[in-house]
Amino acid sequence: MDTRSIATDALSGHGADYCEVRIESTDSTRITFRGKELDDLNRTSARGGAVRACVNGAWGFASFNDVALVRERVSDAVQMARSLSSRRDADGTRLAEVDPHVEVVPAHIVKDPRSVSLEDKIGLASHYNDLIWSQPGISSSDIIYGDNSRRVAFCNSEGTYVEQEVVHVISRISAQARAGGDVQQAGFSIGALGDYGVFEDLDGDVEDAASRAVGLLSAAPLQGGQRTVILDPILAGVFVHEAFGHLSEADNVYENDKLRELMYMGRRFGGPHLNFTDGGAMPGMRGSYKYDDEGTPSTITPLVREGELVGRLHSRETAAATGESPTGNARAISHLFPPIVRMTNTFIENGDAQFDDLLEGVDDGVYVKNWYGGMTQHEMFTFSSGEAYMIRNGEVQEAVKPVMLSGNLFETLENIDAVANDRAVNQGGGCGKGGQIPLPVANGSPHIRIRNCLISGA
Amino acid sequence: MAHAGDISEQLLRSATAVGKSAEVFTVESESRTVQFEANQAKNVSTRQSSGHALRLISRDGRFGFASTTDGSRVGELVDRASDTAEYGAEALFDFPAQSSYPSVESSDARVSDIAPDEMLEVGSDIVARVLAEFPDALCDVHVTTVRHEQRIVNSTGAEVGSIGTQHGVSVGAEIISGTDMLSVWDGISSGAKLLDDDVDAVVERLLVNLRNAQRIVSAPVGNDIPVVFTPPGFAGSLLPPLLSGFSGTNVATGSSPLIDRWGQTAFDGRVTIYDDPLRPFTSGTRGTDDEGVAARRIDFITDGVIGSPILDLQTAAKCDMESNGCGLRGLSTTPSPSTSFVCMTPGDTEPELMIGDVERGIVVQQLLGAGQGNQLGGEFRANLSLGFIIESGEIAGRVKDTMISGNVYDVLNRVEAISSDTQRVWGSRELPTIRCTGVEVAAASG
Repeated sequence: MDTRSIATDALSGHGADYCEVRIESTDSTRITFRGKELDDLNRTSARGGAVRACVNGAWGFASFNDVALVRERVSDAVQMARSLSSRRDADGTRLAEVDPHVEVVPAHIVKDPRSVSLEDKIGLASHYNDLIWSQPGISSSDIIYGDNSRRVAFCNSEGTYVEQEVVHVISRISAQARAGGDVQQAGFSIGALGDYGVFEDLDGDVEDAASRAVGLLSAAPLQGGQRTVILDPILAGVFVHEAFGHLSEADNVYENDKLRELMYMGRRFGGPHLNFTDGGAMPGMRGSYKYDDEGTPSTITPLVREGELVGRLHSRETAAATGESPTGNARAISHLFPPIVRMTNTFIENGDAQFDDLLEGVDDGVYVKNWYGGMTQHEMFTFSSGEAYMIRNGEVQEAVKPVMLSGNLFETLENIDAVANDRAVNQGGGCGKGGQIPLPVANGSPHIRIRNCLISGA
Repeated sequence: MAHAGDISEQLLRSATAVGKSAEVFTVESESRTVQFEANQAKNVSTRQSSGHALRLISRDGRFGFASTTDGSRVGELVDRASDTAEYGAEALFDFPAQSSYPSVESSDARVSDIAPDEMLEVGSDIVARVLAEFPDALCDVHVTTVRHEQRIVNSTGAEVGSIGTQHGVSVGAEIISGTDMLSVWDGISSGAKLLDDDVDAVVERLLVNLRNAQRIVSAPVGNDIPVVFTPPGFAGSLLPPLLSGFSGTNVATGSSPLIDRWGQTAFDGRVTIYDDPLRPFTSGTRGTDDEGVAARRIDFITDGVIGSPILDLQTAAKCDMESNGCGLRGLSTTPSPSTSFVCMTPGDTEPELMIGDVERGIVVQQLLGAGQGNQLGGEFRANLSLGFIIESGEIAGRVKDTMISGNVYDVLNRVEAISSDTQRVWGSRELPTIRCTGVEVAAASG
């Protein structure tokens, strides 16, 4: 039986308010160099399914390996939802309406990693590793290359059947330098949808990372406190993801009246130069797809326009609960998880300043570049730079040790006083939420300047 | 797993026909979670997964690895592992022979018998108790049961199977007031069925933290303030950079700052930290690692003296040492050195004096964004997602927009006091409260 028949057949007579089946298979390759040698080489395949059923607003979810048992799993999930629903206040199942779609969506491919031999991939990773080690003062290196292809068939009880394939390529390259007990590291992450080319021609970036790692041994630490900071497009992309994107996910507000009162449409978060957007329908990036994991077509959602809140990201359930339109942001990292509201490709739009305008008048600031990580808890967020340089008298000067920045949604966005016009994209990150990590996302921004930004000591 | 056993033997036979030696790792797990969201029962989920991983050493001594959860593709594993072996890392060891393994208590049959209704009752009760005192709170509760079975067979003759269970409860409570959003969480996980007392302790700690958090105060800044790390605060800030120095992976590549310091005194003499996989009913209880090497206690720091790293077979060979049974893995990854149940020996300060003896200080309870800095160098830095100010020996209130940073190799030399009690943090740590100086505190001026 083909996948469509298996899924459709499993859903017949399901007995819930709503039911869906996902059947997924993935193939992955991963190459790891650690130190001078190849450390790990790994080829993994996975197949499995997931069923989700809703009765009176209560959900039952079952994930499994044995796809032959999908019909039994449907009845398990419906049974779980039914028994749970009796414990809820009876508010019914409310899902925003989405027209049924039937479509097979092929992978977006620029240069298919599956057509590149394992030997060539290892050869290139090995070449980058040799480049790192050619730099004097290096004590260790880490190179991770990974690609995977994922095919997902989605079928729901409302007549949608969508098959989609996505191919991702990621790499993280980092160099370490050591002097006695002092260990410093520098690196970068890249990624692309369906394009092995992103892993090629990185010699300059690799050499730069290696020399930065060595340079950090002699860089001075910065004292913690509040300073003017200028963020490069990569780190500003991480900033908008952490500082604003997560709170735009409507699963934070749909059952939380107080938060909804704070995040009302039209609320002002900053000046008219602030424009934020998220959208899976932007083509060809790591957060791009045609349908989300509930079968809703992806869209492009303006989140902030001229400093005011104008939109948020939805699943069908959060859209119905808030009376807003579904945006196609329900995503599941694999068949092991149900779809939840996630970002896709998240951006700060260009302003009209030049980079030099941002530097002007900054007498004691920090230029922070590249990213190390970031995290959000409601209105509080932190994110870390991979590089940091002092700014004095309007000029970028010596490197200092990388810093962690922290802020508060309701204050930090107000403190962004300049946005440049040099937008760039970072596709090397993976987002984590509810145990689902790393979800492919892209984010980006032009250079931005933040006044009075809290920086940790280093 | 009789059927899975047959598949393992068959895989092993086919793999050794093309390679020098081989190992098959098989897992089968089942879990169930009942989830409350915004005070209401929201979701019941089950996960069943099983799969096979094949690691082989080729005739010219290289590793190959492949895994699958697709029952119909198990037959491809030998070919795929052979393909990777052509380029794989050089195998510096052979798979171990059968040896004697310590017997441990890692599973409790009662866990698998816990019915969803019982899990729902536990969740409802927790929500009711939090709401009784904080009616504005929104609670998320997860109650989880897991049963995990795994088996390792290799061509040297080792055959080891194990069964583990887990019963876990976690609670998060959120209270919004104006633009202030307070989030407090706690939880516990055990290999044995949780007792009512275990769950009560979680709820009580959560309520105490909520009470202490009601008042917001401004933080003192600088680096000479006494900082009290509660067990979760300690686990979230100091422990990860410390443990990265003991990881065999970092020792083998020369990245660990400890590589030439074994046996030296590097910390306060009261600091003793070790990994204990043999402790009954933790989330890391095991008699063997995932390569078939017997598990044992690993002493990281004894009375301030640096002990041993955690090693698997390959990193041990790279370091000219013997594996100490710390090679752990998931199905789709090869083993790497990992901890199981990290403990710190308690000190002699009465618990109430950890705060009671402090004129002005700060308490670190929950962190946001820890682990982003240069952990290998021992650095920690994080936003305090839940931290308190101590004034005249008492908690005066909660701080906001405050960050801490420091270096664990420095801070664990500036220990003021270690509490005489310990707390299990989730299922994998057991730690006292410690008070140190040398932590830099930075805060927004508001």
